Amino acid sequence: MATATDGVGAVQTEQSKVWEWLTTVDHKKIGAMYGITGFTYFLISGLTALAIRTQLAVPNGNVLSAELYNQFFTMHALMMIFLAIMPMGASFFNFFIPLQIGARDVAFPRLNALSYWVFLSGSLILFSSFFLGGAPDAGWFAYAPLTDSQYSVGPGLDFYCVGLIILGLSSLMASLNFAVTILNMRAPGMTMMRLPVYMWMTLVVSFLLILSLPIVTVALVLLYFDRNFTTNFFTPETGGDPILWQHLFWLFGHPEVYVLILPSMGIVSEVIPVFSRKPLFGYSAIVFAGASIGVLGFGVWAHHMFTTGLGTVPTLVFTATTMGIGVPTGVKIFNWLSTMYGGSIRFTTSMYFAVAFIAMFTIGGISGVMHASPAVDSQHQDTYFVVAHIHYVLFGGAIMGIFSGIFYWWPKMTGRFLSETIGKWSFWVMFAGMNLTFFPMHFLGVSGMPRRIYTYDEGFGWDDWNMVATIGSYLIGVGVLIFLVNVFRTMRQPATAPDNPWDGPTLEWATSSPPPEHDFDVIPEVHSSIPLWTNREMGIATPEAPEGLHIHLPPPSYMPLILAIGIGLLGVGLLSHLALVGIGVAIAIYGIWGWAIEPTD
Amino acid sequence: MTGRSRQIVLVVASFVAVAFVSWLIFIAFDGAAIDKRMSTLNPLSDQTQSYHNVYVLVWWLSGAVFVVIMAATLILSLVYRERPGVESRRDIHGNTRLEILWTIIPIVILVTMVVPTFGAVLSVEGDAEEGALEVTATGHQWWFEFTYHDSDGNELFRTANEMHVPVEQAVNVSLVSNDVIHAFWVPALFGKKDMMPGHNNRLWFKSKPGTEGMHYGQCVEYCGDSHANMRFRVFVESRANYDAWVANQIATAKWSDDELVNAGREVFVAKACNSCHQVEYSKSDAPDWLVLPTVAAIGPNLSHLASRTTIASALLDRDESSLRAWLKNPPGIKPGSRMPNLELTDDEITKLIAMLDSLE
Amino acid sequence: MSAATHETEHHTSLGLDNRKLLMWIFLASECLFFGSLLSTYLIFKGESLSGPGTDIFAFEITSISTFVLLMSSLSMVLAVYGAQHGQLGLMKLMLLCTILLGLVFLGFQVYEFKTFASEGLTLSTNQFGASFFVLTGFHGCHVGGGVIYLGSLLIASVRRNGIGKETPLYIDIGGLYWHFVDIVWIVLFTVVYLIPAY
Repeated sequence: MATATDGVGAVQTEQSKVWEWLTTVDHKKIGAMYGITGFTYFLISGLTALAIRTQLAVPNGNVLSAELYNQFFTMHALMMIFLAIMPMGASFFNFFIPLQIGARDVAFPRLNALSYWVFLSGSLILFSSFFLGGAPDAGWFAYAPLTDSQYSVGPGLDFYCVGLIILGLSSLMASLNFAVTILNMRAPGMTMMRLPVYMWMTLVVSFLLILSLPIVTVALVLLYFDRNFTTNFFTPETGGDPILWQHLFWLFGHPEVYVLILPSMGIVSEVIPVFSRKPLFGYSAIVFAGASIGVLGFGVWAHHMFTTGLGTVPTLVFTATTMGIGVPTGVKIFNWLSTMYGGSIRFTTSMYFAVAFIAMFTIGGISGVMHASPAVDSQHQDTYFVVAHIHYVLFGGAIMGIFSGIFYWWPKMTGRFLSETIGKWSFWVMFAGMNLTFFPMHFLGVSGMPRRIYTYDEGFGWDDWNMVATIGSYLIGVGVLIFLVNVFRTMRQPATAPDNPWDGPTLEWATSSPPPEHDFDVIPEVHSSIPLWTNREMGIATPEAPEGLHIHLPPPSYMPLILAIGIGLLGVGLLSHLALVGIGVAIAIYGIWGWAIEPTD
Repeated sequence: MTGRSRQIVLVVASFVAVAFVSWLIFIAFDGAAIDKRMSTLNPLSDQTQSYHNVYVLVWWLSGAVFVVIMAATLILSLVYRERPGVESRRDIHGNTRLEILWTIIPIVILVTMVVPTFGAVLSVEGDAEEGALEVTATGHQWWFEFTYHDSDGNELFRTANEMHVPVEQAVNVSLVSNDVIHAFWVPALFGKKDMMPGHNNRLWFKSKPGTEGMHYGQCVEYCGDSHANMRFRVFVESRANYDAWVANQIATAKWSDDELVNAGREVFVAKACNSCHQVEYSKSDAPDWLVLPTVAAIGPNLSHLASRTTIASALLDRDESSLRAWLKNPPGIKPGSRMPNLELTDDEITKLIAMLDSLE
Repeated sequence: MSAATHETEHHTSLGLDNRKLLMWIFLASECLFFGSLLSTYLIFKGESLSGPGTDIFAFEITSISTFVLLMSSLSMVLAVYGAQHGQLGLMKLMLLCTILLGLVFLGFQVYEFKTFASEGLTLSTNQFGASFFVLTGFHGCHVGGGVIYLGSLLIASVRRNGIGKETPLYIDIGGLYWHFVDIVWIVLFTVVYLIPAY
């Protein structure tokens, strides 16, 4: 096999490391940038969570003013969803799509780089709102007419519109890239039903974004117009309708939550078979379940609107569809458990996180099914019961799935192992913290505590569980810190990990750790969805790389960076001086022109 | 210990552990809502009872699923932990019969939840009973206004922070918003419903016998700075008490000739309190009282403030110290409050409180 | 271009060039974009409290501009034909025609917008004005973007080395985009202009 000469974390001898990263079109480096940026925002958003929990630890707290609290809970959600979970997901997509399908890069390497730089632009615009007049404070869902300029007077909601439109652009470009790559660049022999489950989930997620982002883009444009150009799409004064915002937003917002969870479901579908030393149980069922969740995900959005006065018939229709989407989700849970049955389970840290995912996501799924019934939702909606639900599926589900993937794929990406001992400590502390924080929120919900309140009074019986939840949140913080310690210690070690330390069956384990810049010397034959195991059983060996192997790679380019700067300036101009819009457009045109004419070989 | 008996011990131990945790959770759920002001598990109307029945069914089904999945996860993790000499079953790729079974069983469970849901929603969301009391609840940033109507729909009176209803009487509440989306919710009496600007939402409820008393409510749709402070109370009363309350609210504001109250009225006018708040004295009592504009007031109607138990959108009890604190600095208590800090002196406040206390 | 598409005839799983597949999927997202805008327009139909309604339309003028855009799709088809059959002269001429016809369409749009504004219909007049201008305005921006896109192809094709041996593919993909924008206009014209009148 090829020796590890390139890749993330290895020693480079280039002149300008910074320039190399600014102009890279290598999916592995882009993946690394997404991961580091995403995790940084995860930490920052975690701090907002700690601030929120500190404020709510006792009744009538005065740690955060009402104004600041409202910005914090809004930005906590926005940052976690758009700046942390999605980019960390994109990080793994970037790194592993080409490796798992046996390609050598994504379909459009410069578009890939552009997605990252536009993401960075958009994220900085959104985040900077804290320091430039106040972050958006109307909730991440930004219901009209509260978001109209007469009720939200500062620039926060304009940062929201512009920031999210740019971030949406980034996600759209990435999703188009990934969809084309997975559909069109699979290794010979890799039919669709031999794709790793993680790839299937990535494909479904890509289509979810491709079809739902345009809808929220329209919503954001209309909101921007209402705030800045005296239209009244969402304000009733001249015939507008606040409900229109909700429909447009949730038509995106609901598929979005599947975008957040499906990648982690994909990761868990990879991890559990490897550490159970058994093939995944019911591959086809899991694939079909994932695809049907994607499709059905477009048919349930109004369950976020059960209390808005939709009317009895629509309410009941969406009850049925929402309950219905629980079926494919349940199928997956059973299939993962059945994979463990009859296995010989190795409890690495990655496996701990994956098994915890099953349990925690199930709890979140159960509470979700509960308020899929409007009868129950009439009491649960807008209470802490829903906060419990979302955090079980998003932290217990999405985040734990991501951590499982981090521990699983760390050797492949960096050539080093994260410490299992420290890893298990971080797991147990995070697991305990998570349950201590969010399980009591079910109780707070049934005792009537509303959401999105910066404080509460004594005498309502909410004091004790709030204190417990706050303690739990600090425990989560400790767990994350322990994880960071693990990361810093590990990066000081030499990169000596073997190609396939966990005996994984998918193609990324058929190259060095970390992979060379060209990913594979030789791409193995694919005869199943678990090619390395199948090839071993059938005695098929992967030939050695031929002498004088030269694989042409796309050259680096700074045009994506230029174009992203142009787009960013355009956004900044919309928020400040229109002259900047012109400059941004000019820079963007230069970037596009340079992109079109630069040589690609 | 042989492999088989080891497995049995682990299975039994897992079930015991899960059962124990489930029991703790059950206790906590119950305990969470007993004697809690905003408990969602204390249905005191036919409507919340109907929804509560669905909740109980859903809760137990969910609990069963919880126990099964948690136990399975624990059992499989323990029983199939790697052991020397034991190989994994690499030959298992699926089992069609099993997969069909665990597709059908969840469908059955979900249908079991959906059917009673349909029934409950259709009955609760239907039209109110004949002869229902008509009240309009208007959400403002950040307080609740209540307008009572007679059977022809004419307006009888307006009040704020508290709604009184007779026990065992159907009440039809029209939900209006003055500005942004608010939501109207008293967990004991009715599930929440949004007050949507530009829309005519409504809900109705009928309290059960023996539910007389004070019930807590709160706005549950994020509506800006002081969303957390936007609360209200519902008083379920005997017919006689309710009729007396209505008669009092309909009557004009009580006139007192007390010197301090008079001084308070002067402050009320001098500080332009009447530009936002109505106090409807009768012409015969107060011919010189400034005629107020007939447009909807910006702040609560104060004509019978002293008959109310709370002030400041039910955030504070209506007592001397709360009134003083509120009048001293409203935005300090309710961030974003439309009522500004009027820089009142302590003396002015004393006079105002005397006047407000006279408005029974 | 990526390493995988280095040679023109490189194997792809679906048998389609990556760039063509990209355009198709991108157009799917554009369907949702225009669908949302059109839905917004339809939701507000009849909801305006005051101001002009669809009576402000001048069908004769809009029919002409619609015809112009339809003809531009015809010229685009011919441009693709030319590219695929090595008739680069035809291709360039038809590209130019398409661009000019597109510009004429845009000219008509600008004229219509200005006329409406002078007759009292702007973004802020009523729901009809707001949703109409946003819907047709974004369509116009897409036509404008298409004009720039095709213009770049034309300019590149008249340079010394032309676009190269992938010319048929590039023109084909440009054609996909242009036809899509035209189809959106057909739908818009039908739903917004024609149906209310009849």
